[in-house]
Amino acid sequence: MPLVHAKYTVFTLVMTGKYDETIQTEEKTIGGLLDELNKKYPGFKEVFIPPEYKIMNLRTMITVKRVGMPPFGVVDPNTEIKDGDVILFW
Amino acid sequence: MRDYVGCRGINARILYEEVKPGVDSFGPENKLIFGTGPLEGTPIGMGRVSITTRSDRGCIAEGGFGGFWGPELKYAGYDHVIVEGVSEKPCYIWIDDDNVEIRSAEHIWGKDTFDTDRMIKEEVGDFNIQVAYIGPAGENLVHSSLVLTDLCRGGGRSGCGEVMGSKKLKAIAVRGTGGVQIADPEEYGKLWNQIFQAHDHYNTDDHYVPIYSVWGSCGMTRMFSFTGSLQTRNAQEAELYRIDDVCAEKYFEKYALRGTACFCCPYAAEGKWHEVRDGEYAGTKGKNMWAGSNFAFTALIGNANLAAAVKLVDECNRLGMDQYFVAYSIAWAMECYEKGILTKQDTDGLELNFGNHRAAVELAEKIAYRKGFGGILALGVEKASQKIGRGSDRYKLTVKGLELEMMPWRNLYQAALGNATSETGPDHTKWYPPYPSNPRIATSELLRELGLDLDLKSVFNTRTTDGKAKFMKFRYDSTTFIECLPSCVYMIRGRLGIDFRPWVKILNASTGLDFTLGEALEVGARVVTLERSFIVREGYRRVHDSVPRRMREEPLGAQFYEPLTQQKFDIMLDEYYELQGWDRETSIPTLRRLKELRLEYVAEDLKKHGLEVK
Repeated sequence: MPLVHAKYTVFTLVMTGKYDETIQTEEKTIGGLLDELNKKYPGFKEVFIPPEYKIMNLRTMITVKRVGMPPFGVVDPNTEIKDGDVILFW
Repeated sequence: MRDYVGCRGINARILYEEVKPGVDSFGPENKLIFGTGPLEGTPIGMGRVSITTRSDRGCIAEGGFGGFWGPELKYAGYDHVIVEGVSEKPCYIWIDDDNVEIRSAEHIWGKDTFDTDRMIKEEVGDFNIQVAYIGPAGENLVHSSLVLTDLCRGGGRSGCGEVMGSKKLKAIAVRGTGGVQIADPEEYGKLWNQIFQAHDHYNTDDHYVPIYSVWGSCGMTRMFSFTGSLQTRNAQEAELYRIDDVCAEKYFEKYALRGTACFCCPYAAEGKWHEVRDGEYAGTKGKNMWAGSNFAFTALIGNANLAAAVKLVDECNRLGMDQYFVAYSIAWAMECYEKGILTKQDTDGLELNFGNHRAAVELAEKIAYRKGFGGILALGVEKASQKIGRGSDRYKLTVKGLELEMMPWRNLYQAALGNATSETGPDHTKWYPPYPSNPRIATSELLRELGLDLDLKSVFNTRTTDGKAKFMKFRYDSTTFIECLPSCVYMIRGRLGIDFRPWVKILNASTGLDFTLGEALEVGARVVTLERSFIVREGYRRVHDSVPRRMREEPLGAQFYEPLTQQKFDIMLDEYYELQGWDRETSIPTLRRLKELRLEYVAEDLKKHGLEVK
């Protein structure tokens, strides 16, 4: 079960009411993590994956910082998450 | 007009033809040119104004501001204002439609920008006029002083404010009661709506637009820090540990009051009014904490006190100083202090450790009034490091004698190339944005349709040299065209950053002309090459399109970013010169290129001045 550090900025900060939180998740992908966050913060997932398109949209961004490599942007919800990832939703 | 369109383009031509090489930038022969363009005073113009002159560094100084001064000038019936000579006494120009007066400004000289704005409006008896002015820094010929309008909208950081000060010109006040006519209002309306919709945050295809439209550009601070793009402690690091204490979200929570926008802007990307109500900086009131302000007065100087950053922004706006210059000067001094190159004896007793915000606030004022150690920093980091010596130039972050902006170099190679080659010194507005916001908006079908030979895949791989020169050439040409209309760099977002057809069509709808996309990009190339010709005539060469030593030699270990070595930079630079049609060895535009761009007179002029035009 990966332990990730979620960071919320601008819009997502307004939705969650917090700057960041640590999440122990059973999900293995970014898409799964969005589903989990959507349960806590209704509407969270559709900010990133509008239901009418079912793909990540162009209006928002998710960036991942992983130990041992430069930060990278997520364009595919099937992107794997790993223990220790820091994930910025913006 | 066909060759230069207006605004920055016409300004460049006037400067090239009328200001001879080697003149004293602070003498009567230099000219200070304010330019508007054919779309000024219409919504898409965004109130943009280009200010052009010969900087004290010898290269072209060009920059501008938004606000409402440009439309007012246009409504008074003027496209350009050219200031030449030097006044014996402080003065200001009052343009009231057809009546133009030069009035005494002896009673205003020395006043800050807020007082200047108020006093001139009171004197004219009309608070609806628009005024552009300098602060005490410009009067004192401080390096990188600004011309400001609307209290806090500044421009011309590459040297326009101090040239205005050298002419003893405090302000230009304008009242215009006319208007502008549009050739095809119906088509213009459709195109404006199309461009406007692209900046609506429900419709946009650019993830920066919602941030800009609601939070302003400073909403990017945490993202910049997160991705290791935030120059921290004089760019020794790329991430501020306490970023959550000084980010835009905190600024909104504590200080921001309400948004302000330039003329017809669909989103108030730049400005919010703010006030600090408690603590040691209580009473600070002003506006415009934009991204660069937030980055520079927090991370760059290692400061985690947001109220101090607001105070520094306010101080710069009131005194008429460029925020990047002030922040980089202080950051350079702080690094020199921490490394023992500077001591308290040099700094008038100030303990210039990173994060000492009280010292930074005190030093900013000293710079504007050239007091003590501030007098050395007022020369700019380049000259200050020469004056101090002791190896302090090792830590300067300048190109062509101008301080950097807060753009990442080691993880965004196109930004490095753009800033290094800018004719004015670092200026991200001449080529921003560094890539389309998302690969999906610029398909190969679209590129084929537009006839653009760009490899956008390589552009998204920001730490390789591949494709950067080609993309940057496109960015320079296209952004320059936009600045000739004029419009604002914040509008070049999403698909509109690649698909330039709406921009060309709106020029045609406004003027009745029939520009094609190719012709529009050629206008951009012509203006850039003319500006390049101006600086090579003044002695600038390839060696001046440089990368600061820190970015060339030092990695950013925590983010796994290698240095941008000279070797890698040279690969991009060679390719960029080749694409621009400039000589690889010297950066002097080639004869063939000058002829292609109908700049034969420039080739003749360069030869007359002893330059080898190959």
